[in-house]
Amino acid sequence: MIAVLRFCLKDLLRSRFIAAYFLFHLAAGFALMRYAPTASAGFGALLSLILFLGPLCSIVFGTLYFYQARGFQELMLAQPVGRGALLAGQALALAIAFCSAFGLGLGISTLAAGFHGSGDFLLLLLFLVGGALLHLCFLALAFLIALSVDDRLKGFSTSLVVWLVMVFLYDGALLAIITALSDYPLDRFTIGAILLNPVDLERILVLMQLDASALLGYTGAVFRRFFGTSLGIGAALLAMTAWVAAPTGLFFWKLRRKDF
Amino acid sequence: MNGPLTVGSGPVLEARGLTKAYGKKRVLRGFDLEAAAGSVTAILGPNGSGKTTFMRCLLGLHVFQEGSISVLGEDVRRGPAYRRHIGYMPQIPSFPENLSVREIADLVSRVRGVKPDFARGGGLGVDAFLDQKWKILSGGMKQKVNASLAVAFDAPLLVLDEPTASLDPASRLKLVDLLRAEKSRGKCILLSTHVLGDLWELADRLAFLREGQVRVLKADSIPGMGTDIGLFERSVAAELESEP
Repeated sequence: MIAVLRFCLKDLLRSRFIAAYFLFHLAAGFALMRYAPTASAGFGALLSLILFLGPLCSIVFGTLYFYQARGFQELMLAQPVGRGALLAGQALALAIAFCSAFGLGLGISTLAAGFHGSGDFLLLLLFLVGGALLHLCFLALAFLIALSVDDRLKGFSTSLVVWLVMVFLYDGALLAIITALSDYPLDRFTIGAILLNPVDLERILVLMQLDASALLGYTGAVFRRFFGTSLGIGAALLAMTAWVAAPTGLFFWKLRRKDF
Repeated sequence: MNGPLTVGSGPVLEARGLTKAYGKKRVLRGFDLEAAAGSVTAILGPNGSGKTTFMRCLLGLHVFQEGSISVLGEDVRRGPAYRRHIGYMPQIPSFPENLSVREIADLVSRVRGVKPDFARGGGLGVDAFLDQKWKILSGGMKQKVNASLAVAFDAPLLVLDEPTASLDPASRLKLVDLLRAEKSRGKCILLSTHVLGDLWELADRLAFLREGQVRVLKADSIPGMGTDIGLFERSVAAELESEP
């Protein structure tokens, strides 16, 4: 697995897409943090960007990467290496490449743009850890979809639908439910529903640390009471980790019986 | 490993009662095949007859339902270690596009735990583009790298899927010569091809697949073998079109 990881990572680090992804985060992070009136406003703007682009790039590139690597996988599986080791090496290489491009791009630019205090550093850390988990979750979903659907067009379409549902439609449905049932206490339901979507988890986790949460009124206060505490942050990060672990586990379970 | 290969008295490859189905469609039905050291066995059959399925079962790419396959006595379902005995050349080779040929060879050698000996495929001239990235190689160059890697680890069983498909005539002849040399060194070669000229030059046995079962004929028994390539091609085509 280590050899596969090492060489696949070498290949990915030379790819134009990963270089462009790093440069984009570097430029966007520097511009937004440097010219935003406050660090909070800068992080808020960056958050919108990351929640939209991170899942999209991860699921699209992950799906295409898996399909493109099918020939390589077939050739390598004719060598004395197990399926799990080969695919784990490839998946880890992709995860490291993506998270490095995202984390280093935003980390370096944000540090270079200047900080206002230790609170900002904790916010940045939460932002990067949550963002990395979000990338890992969508990469795992991409691999699971590409393994399950042999037809590339169908697999690619499925990935886009999953992205659309998790980034837009889920929130729309949740909002519709909350509006329709506004006469009922929905605090627990809403927190539970947010725990079921990694995109919402990252959004709420970061928003709760920003001044913007004060604008959310009563709902903000309820969320802050949960997601603003160490327990809430821990629960949210655990839920995001579960969102990485579940598709990954399912991927390796399906891999055992897969006909390549 | 120098000199002719000795593998004991048993076959290098042995498939018994192999059954593989995709859902309700049974592609291989009680398939039996043996192949010995120092022989070339060609697998032939119309599209959908199960040639690729058998090769994929042998390589561990497909999971079969019944029967067994062993390579030098090692059951293929007992983990990937048996594949150290196999050199594989797929029809369309694919590697990470930003790696050089040297890095690809390094990757495969680390996975196999053996250093490659590119001198074995010296006639193919892979040395000339060892430092070029995979993505800039032509189809023919990729196939030469593929062939060189298949023989570079001195594996006792060579599994070749349409090996001469994208090669120019001169390179095709070099590959045929290379395979003939490997056979004389005791390698067991399993070949799937639609290029009947390759069979005429190399094959000892022809395994005809029809409806998931196999009929093996000695190449010598095919009219025209070794004497008249035109007659040989017509005889093989007639056999392919005959009733199972």
